[in-house]
Amino acid sequence: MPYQREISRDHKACILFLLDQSYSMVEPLGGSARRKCDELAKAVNAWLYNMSIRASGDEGVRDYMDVGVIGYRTDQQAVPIIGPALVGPLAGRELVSITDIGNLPARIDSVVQQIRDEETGELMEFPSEIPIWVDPVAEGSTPMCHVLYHAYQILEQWIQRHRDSFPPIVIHISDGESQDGDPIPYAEAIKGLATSDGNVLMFNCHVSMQQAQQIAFPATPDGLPDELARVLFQMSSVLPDPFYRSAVTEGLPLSPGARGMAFNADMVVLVKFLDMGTRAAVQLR
Amino acid sequence: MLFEHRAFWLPKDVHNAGAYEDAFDVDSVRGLVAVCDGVSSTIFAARWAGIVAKAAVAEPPAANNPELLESWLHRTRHAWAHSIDETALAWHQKPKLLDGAATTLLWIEISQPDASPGVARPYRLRAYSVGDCCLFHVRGGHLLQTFPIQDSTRFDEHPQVIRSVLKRGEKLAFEAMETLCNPGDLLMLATDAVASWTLRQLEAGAAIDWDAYWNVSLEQWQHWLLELRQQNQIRYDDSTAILLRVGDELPRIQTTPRAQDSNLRDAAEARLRDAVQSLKGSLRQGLRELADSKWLKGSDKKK
Repeated sequence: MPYQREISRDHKACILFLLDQSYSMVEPLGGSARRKCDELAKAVNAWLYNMSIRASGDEGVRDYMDVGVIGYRTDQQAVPIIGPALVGPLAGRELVSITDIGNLPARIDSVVQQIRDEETGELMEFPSEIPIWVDPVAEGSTPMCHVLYHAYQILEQWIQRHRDSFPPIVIHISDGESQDGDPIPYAEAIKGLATSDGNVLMFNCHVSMQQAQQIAFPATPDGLPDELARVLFQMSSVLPDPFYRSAVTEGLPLSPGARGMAFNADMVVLVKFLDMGTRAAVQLR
Repeated sequence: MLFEHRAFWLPKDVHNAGAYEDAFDVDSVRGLVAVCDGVSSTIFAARWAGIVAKAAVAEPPAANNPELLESWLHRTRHAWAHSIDETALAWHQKPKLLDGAATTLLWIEISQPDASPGVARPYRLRAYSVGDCCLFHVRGGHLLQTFPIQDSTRFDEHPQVIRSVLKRGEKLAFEAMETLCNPGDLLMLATDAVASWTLRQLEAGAAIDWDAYWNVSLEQWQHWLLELRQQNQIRYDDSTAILLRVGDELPRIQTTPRAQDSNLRDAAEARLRDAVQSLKGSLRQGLRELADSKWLKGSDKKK
């Protein structure tokens, strides 16, 4: 049965983020006064923060996962700019072990967090350290096919070195349609890559400036509002059984055959969507 | 001694035995055994599991007395917290430390009430559990019962754990069992990976040769576990099994099967191999105890 391999240092996981950095990401995210690119950077930084803490052990961050954060946009001459979005000491690296993520953030901001006491309702303030790995970027257009081809090359090489690992998970976040061709064949090629434990999983999340109807993890294309949503549906993998059962157990209203796709996502849906990508890591015992 | 025991263990990461987060402790004179499975997703879990296992054998928690149990927990939690230098923690360890470590615990107490010289009496076995470590009770090669889990699907659930920090509203509840053992009965205390595999085998109708299990060497057992992992048959996890043979008159451990017609030289070589294996096992055990003693200064308990 696929998607059963438990994640460990001997059988590492691989999570690859593909982030839309086109100019339209300066628009506000639905239901928020903040720009989409700011919210996206915040969500990815929070995900990396949580993963680093989860991997943290007695002797540091345990090396059980490789993470890539690839941004994509074009320059003013419409030339695709595809490359690592990590900043600081990890800048320029496409796949980075979670150990390096934990040890080498670009900077650590000191903030005061307000946490409500569950029993008294009182707001309590705690000094906290927030590490940053990704900064917001918004420029040019959306060369989606180029970034998918780039992702294919990265994952093909990773799989050659980790043939028996849990298959890589691609988390693609965009606010619009591809502007360099039909992305479906490229997505199919990525989903065709496989380890001995199953095919690569591709999850797609569309973020929107409109407070339109949000769709998360649909099982059929029926009722999707437009062609862009139907394209993302085709690009997205069906959630494997362990992911599906875990999500249902936690109360997410999913139907069998649900796909790793969200449409018109706001910050809440975006965070839930990223969480879906961590379910494989949660299996670490 | 109330029993003889054999200890089998294999770290999840065979290249990093220091990351082994199960723990066990045995006192065959007082009749106490404990196994713990530290939760890998928590921090300093191996240390916590080791502290809890040793504390459960040194001074078993009073499962039915909330006040004494609270006091026992307070002492073990204090020992864990006292062992950590918070000033040396990295940014990613600090928030995790607030949630503390977690472990499951299974311990048993074997006693022989009203023991009189020359009179064979059954032994009383009491078992207590938090979480999904599991006890197997075998007599004459047949499984009598398991505790606290009888159904392998229960291993898919999130087990109850003992935390190294106090969580508001969290109540610790032990499952308990009492039964009688005959001399020669075999008991196995196993952490979840081995326990789950064993229960699934039994549910599938497979026969387990418990006597052969008793006779394998640690190296053979570890090799067998690695093969099961390779075949995806067993959970990729720290694995521990403690086997006990109850009673005074015990069969000898024979780690190498010998052909009846083997000549004297073959027999001598076999004995030499046994001795070397035994020495290796003792050295390994000694190294583990030395490593433990780094965190548990002052303890003279023997694993």
